[in-house]
Amino acid sequence: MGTVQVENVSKKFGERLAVDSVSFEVRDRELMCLLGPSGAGKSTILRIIAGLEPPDTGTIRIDGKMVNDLSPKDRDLAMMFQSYALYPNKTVYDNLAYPLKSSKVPEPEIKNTVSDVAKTLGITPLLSRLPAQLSGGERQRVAMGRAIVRKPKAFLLDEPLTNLDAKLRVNMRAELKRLQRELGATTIFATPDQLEALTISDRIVMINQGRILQDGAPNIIYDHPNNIFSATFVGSPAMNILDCSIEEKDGRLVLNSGDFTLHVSELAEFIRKGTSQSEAVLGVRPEHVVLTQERAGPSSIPAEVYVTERTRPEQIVHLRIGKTMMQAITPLTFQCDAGQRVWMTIDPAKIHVFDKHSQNAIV
Amino acid sequence: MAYRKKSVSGQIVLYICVLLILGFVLSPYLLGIVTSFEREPELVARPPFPFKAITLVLDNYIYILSYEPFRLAFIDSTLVAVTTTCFVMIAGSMGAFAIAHLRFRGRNFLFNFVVVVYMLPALAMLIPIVVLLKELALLDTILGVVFAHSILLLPLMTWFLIGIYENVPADILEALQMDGTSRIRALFREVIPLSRFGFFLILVFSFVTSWNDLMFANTVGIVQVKLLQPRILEFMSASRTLYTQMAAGGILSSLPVVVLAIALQRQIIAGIMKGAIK
Repeated sequence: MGTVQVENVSKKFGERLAVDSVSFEVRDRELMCLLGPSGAGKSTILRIIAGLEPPDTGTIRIDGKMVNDLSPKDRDLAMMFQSYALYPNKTVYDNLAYPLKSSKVPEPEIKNTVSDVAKTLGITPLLSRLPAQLSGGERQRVAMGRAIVRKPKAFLLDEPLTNLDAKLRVNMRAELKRLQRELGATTIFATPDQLEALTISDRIVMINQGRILQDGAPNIIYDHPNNIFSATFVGSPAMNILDCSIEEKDGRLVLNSGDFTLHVSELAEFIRKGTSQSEAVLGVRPEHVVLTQERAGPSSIPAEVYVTERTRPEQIVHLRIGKTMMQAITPLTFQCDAGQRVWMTIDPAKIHVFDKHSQNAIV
Repeated sequence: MAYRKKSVSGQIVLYICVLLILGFVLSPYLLGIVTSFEREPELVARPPFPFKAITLVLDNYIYILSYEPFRLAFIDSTLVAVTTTCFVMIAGSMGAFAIAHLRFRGRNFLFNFVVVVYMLPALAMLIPIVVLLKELALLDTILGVVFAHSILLLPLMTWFLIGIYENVPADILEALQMDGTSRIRALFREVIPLSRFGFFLILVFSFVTSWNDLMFANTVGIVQVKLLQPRILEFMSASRTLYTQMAAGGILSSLPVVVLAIALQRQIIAGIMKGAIK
C-alpha cells in the first residue's frame, strides 16, 4: 500500500474551473473521503489521480514519486466506477482476471488470486455468470473485486454505493469499511452522502465548486465546521442557520436574530476578535436545541411547534419563533403537537458563529 | 392472451394487403428471375403480363457461367468489395472510435467534416477521383476501384460507426485503460465485440454498396478492369440487348447480397432477442 499526495491541482473544462488548486495527502492505510455535492469536482479529482484526465497544473505523487507523466496502468492504482463498468461480455471470473491478464500474470497465479478474492467477497458461486445476470449488490462486489485483485497502491472509489438501494447501501457501507481494514488499503472514496462519509471514513475532505473547504477527521468536520457550507452539508437534519446582528445589551454581548436574542458573553472575546462587523450568521445543530414544556431558565425562548416528524427513535420538531424557523431533535417521549407552545434553550457553548461575508467560522 | 382476437375477414384483408405490397416490391425481381429462365424469342414474343405457359430453361445460366469475362468479373468484384469493406471497416472503426471516445483538438471539426463529405453527391466526387487516380496511375486497376469506393464509403460508414461506438459506456473504456489495455486493443477486442450487431450491419452495407456500384466501376475501370455490374451492362448495346442473359447475370450477381441479407437478419434478430432476455 502507499500514500497519495495531491499538490495544487487545477483543471478547467472550457471556461469552468472544475478543480481549483486542490491539495491534500492520503496517508498509508487511510480511508479518506472526498465529500461534496454532485458537480463539486470529486470525480474529476479521482480521475486526475488515476491518470484518466491530465491536470492543467499541479502534481500527483504516489509514495512520494511524481506520476504526472505515467499512464493510468503504470500508476498502480485501481479505480471503481460509479456505474461499476463491468465488462458486459465477460463472465465474473474473466472480469476479475482481466487486470491480471493485462499485466501478464501467469495463468495458475491468476486462478488462485481470483478465487481468493471471490472468497473474500463471497462471490464464488457467481464466477461463471455474466454481469447482466447479477443483482446490483452483486455487481458492486464484482467491481470491488476487480479493484482488489491487482493489489494496487491505492483504491479510488467513485461513489461506490450510490447505485445501491437504501438498505443494501447501509450493509455495503459496513462491508466496505471491513474490507478496507482487512486489506489495509489506502483508499480515496468520493461520495455525495454525508452520512457515508461520517460513518466510515478516517478523514473527510469537504469539496464544493472544485475547492477544498475543510480537511479533517469526521468529528472535527461535524463539531467544528470552518464554514457555513460544511456546517450545513454535514449532519441530518441540517444545522439551523440564522442571520443575526451582534449587539451589546446591558454591557453584555448578544446575538439578535430579530425574533430572539442569545447571550454570548462567554464567546465575546472570540467574536470580537473574529469580526469587526455587526452582522453574523448563527449556526445551531438541531440536537443542541433543547426543548422543555415549561420555561427552563432565564435564557429560554418561547417557540411554537410548527410540525413534528417522528423519524424514530427520535423526532424532529420544527419550531417557529416569530418569522424564524428552526429544527430540534428530541426524544419521542417529549409530547408536543403542531400549534403547541414550548420553550427552547440553546447552550451558547455549542453554537457556531460564521462571518456573514466570507462564510467562514468565527467561533 | 392480451390481444383481441381478430375476425377472419379482417385477417383476409390484412393478408391481401401484405401480398399486394410484397408483390409490388418484389415484382421486378420476380420478373427478373422468370426472365432469366426463358428463351429470348419467347420473351420478345409476348408482353410480361398476363403470364402464359412458358418453357423454363437453364440456357442463360449455362451461357453466363461459361462466359469467361463474367467469371473474371465475379472474382474481381468480390476482390474489390471484400478489400473495400475490410479497409472501410478498419479505418472507419478507428476514426469513429477516436471521434466517439477520445477528446482531442479538432474533434468537432473532424466530425462535421465527415458529415459534410458524406452529404456530397457521389457524382460530384466522380471527376476529381478519376483525375486523382489518373495522376496516381491507378486508373483502370483493381486498387483504383477499391480506392474510389473507399473514398465514397468511408465518411458515411464512419458516421454510422460513431453512432454505434458512442453507445459503449465511457466508463468501460476507462476501466480498460486502468487495467492497462491499449486503445487499439480496446477497440478491436472490446468495443467492436460489444457493438457487433451494428458493426455487422455496417459491414454488410459497405459490401453491398461496393458490390452493386456501377458508376465508379464503369468510370475507374475501363478496359483492364471490368467489374460485375459494368459487365452485365455490356449485354445491353445500341444494336441489341440480350435480355435473358442479362437477367441471369443480374440474378447471379444478386446472390451474395441475398445471402448476406439473410445472415444479417439472423444477426439482428439474435441481437434483439439478446436485449429482450436480460
